[in-house]
Amino acid sequence: MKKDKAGNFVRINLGHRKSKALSGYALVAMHLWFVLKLNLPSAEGLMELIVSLCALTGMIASIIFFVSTYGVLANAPDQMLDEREVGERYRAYFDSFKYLLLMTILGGMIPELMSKALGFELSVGVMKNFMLLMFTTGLVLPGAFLAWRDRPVIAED
Amino acid sequence: MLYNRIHLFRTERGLSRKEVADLIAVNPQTIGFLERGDYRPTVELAIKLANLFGVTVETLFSLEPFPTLAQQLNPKNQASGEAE
Repeated sequence: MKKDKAGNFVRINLGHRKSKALSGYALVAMHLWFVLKLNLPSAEGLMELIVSLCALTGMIASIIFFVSTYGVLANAPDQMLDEREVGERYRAYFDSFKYLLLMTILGGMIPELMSKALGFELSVGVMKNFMLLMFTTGLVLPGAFLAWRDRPVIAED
Repeated sequence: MLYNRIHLFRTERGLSRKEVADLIAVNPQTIGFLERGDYRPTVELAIKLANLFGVTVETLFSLEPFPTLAQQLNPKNQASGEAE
């Protein structure tokens, strides 16, 4: 980010490794929550608690990541970025688009197959969960691509 | 592959990556990417860099590898390098 304009944006400054860890956790937790919830439509007890914790922490991690360095970078105006950063951002959004498109197609098929294989009926709740998964994934994924592809500044040789 | 002499001109002028980046309004990381050949600049950025170092774009960037100092000093080396 160009330094002169970057200061205008309020954000949580997170280092490269922390950003990678946070975005990775957010994505894994939310996907895990959806898959586990699919298998446990009316589960109770410890498993339900674990699944709920996945969702809660995954959502909190998604929101924190969205307002942190790479989340802000993914949503910053073009004027704040240089040409390489703009190019990388386009690539991150394009890859996110492809992933979300794939998930939208698979999201309609996999739960259907799982419901038949495991013998339960799909409910409106599953679709609501899927929408929430897609929303949090869309929120995090472009920034996550930027964080995972970024190289930390190395000392000048 | 786009070869460049940014590192050479930068060190010759005693500038850090950050100083070069500030002068042409880009992220210091971008200078690192350019020097390593990991990023191909737009014409605009190439001209800005050439102007900064006071050279032509062709002096700073090339599609062919730049001859090494040894090749430049000893034409025999250059001839044998081409033969290989």
